[in-house]
Amino acid sequence: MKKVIKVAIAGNPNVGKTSILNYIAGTRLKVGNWPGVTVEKKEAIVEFGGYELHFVDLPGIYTLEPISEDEKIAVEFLTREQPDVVLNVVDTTNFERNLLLTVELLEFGIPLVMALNMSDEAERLGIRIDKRRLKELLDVEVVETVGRTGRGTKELLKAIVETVDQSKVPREPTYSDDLEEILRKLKGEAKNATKHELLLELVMRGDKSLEGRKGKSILQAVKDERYAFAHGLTKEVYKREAIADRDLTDKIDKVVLHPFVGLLVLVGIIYLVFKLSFDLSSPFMDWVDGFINDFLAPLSLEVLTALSLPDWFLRFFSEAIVGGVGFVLTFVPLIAAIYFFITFLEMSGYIPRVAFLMDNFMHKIGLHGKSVIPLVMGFGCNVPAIIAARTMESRRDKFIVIAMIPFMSCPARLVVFAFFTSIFFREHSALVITSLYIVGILIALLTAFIFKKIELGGKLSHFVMELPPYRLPSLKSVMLIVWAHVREFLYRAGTLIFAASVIIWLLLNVPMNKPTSESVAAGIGKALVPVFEPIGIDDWRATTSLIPAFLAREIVISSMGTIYSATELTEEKEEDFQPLEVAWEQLRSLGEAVLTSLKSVLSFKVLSLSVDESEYEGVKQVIGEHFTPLSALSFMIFILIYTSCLGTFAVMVQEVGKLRGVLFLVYSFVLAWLVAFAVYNLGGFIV
Amino acid sequence: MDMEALKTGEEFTIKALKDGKNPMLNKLYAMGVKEGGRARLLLKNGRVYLIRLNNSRLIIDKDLAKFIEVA
Repeated sequence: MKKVIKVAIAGNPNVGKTSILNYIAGTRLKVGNWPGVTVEKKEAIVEFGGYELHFVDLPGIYTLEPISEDEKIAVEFLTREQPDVVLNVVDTTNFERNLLLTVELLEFGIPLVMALNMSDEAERLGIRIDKRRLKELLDVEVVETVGRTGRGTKELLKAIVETVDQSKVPREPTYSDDLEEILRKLKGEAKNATKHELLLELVMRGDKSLEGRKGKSILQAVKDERYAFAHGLTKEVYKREAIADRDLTDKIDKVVLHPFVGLLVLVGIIYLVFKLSFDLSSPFMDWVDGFINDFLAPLSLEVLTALSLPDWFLRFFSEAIVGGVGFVLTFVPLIAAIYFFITFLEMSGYIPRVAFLMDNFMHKIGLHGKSVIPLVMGFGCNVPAIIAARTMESRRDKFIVIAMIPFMSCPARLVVFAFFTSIFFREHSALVITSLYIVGILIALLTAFIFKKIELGGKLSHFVMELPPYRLPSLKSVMLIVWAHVREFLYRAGTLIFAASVIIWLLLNVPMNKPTSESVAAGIGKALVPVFEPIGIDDWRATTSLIPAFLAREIVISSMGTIYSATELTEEKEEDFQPLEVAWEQLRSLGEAVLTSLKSVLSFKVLSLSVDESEYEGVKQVIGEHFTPLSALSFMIFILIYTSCLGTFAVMVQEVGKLRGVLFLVYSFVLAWLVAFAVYNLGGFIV
Repeated sequence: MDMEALKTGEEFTIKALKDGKNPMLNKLYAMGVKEGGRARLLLKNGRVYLIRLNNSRLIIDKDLAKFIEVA
């Protein structure tokens, strides 16, 4: 077995740690949470130089002092897990400030490798770091890197292995004589203690020896000492030539952060993201649909029939697998496109700017601009958005933001909206879908208002945040992150959605040899009808499909597909299936999809929403007969507002506790029912 | 004086952080806002300031900025 090297990646926020890990790990990047908390944890295992390198990305922090959960996680990892090497990623353009964290890391005495990241940007600014001198002074390996392009990442791996092979230990930082004297005495009492432990002991004791310094506390005096060391080090190795600042960020910010122009830019960007996501993905969605229904499904059926499998299995295959899982898979291109644009905006540095721009507005509902970031991310997926709410320093802000996020409509809801609008509102799809998004935002604002008034008066906490410069993210980095999300979606399709489809199919077919309307599923669905009748949903098949939809909203459509195809769709005429011809046809239509997708960029309109979609025509036709436009609207509003998503509920419980999580679920259900009731009944008067 | 008195685009020196016990000031300090630092006020937007300190751009709300003495 190969020897394992545990590597902790540490650095300030926005220094490109994730980009570096992306390049090192490629598709082996794993995204999860730190145990007990919802702070995101990125990990990867890479083989290099005869070793197995286990990378763990620590949260982005400015200091190891416990200000929020992030610093606590980092310190705990360094002390309990004892990594073999710390990979300290430093933003070269902000060298001195980044060194503060380096100095704190050096106090731990753990072997360290320093990545001077963003060295290309530093070069443009005329900044030069004397690598050799830095290496000598700290006794650590130093590598210049560019996280955006992956430059230097191979050298980092070599440096890590060398540090372990040569058992390199970094030099501890040295402070002023009086502090060093105090530490020497303490060291006499605890021989094996690291500098970090000695300083901690000094602060805990409330040592008064250094208080002569302008009356500063021992903690403040120690912090000053660290900065002084970082400053001294900078003077030794840092040179900056007088080059005119060609940084475009300030110039772009003058427009993008302008109180009025900036808002127009924001609206424009949101429109573009949705237009491009829909239009680029729509031809591919049609293609995936055709590929599954016209090629994969008949091909598999041919094989299954040839194997003389029983009739019930063939039915199970076409109703539960093709009707359920297959249908959800057609939405993969849309989900990938939305993640692509959200990730691109995040990595380019635009999303943090929305916080500055929206601060005034958010302040009116008792929050500060920073809370906009998790809310915007909620449009991508509520689960990571709730995780991102950890950046809120106060519990009050965090709770309000978490309560708002589930009303930000995610692509899973879009799947339901796109399906229903294509049946009932073909002429006005764009208008209906946009209105639903706006209703979601209004409900979120109402929720913030209610929670602030009733439960959590409290005071707004302070707002401090760093804005990274604008950067053009590399396509590879964006694609790797998009792939991690798509993989997660495919995993869900293969597990949760598959399981839900199978269970529903079984419930629909038990007891055997009876019509579906007398099955177990029908019994449950029928019992639920009185609850949903007042909001216009009086078909037991629709209420039944809401039950498994608690796992994930898009399941409502696959369940409807399974239930309606089992109850109403008649077997289509079997046509002679020619695998080779159909395969060739699929290849040709893929080429057409690429062309249509690219052409759509040339138009300003959202083309895909006005396109006559023909997929799953059978199911759509049956649903069209059982819903009215008004009851379909009511159904979509219910799906929009009710937190029908196990993933969201699970992180919510983790973050705010079981009781509050369950209460929120009840709140969202009641609110969803009331709004749907109002829409259905008021709409009845108008129409 | 505090930052309220500054005009957009004006350069200033950080003189002191007035409340050493406020954890958010500790964060500001770790972000490089400390005595002697030279910075520039880039933008004001309602309740928040955007300042440039060396090569970093920081958003600070006005209530917190009151604790930063500048000259």
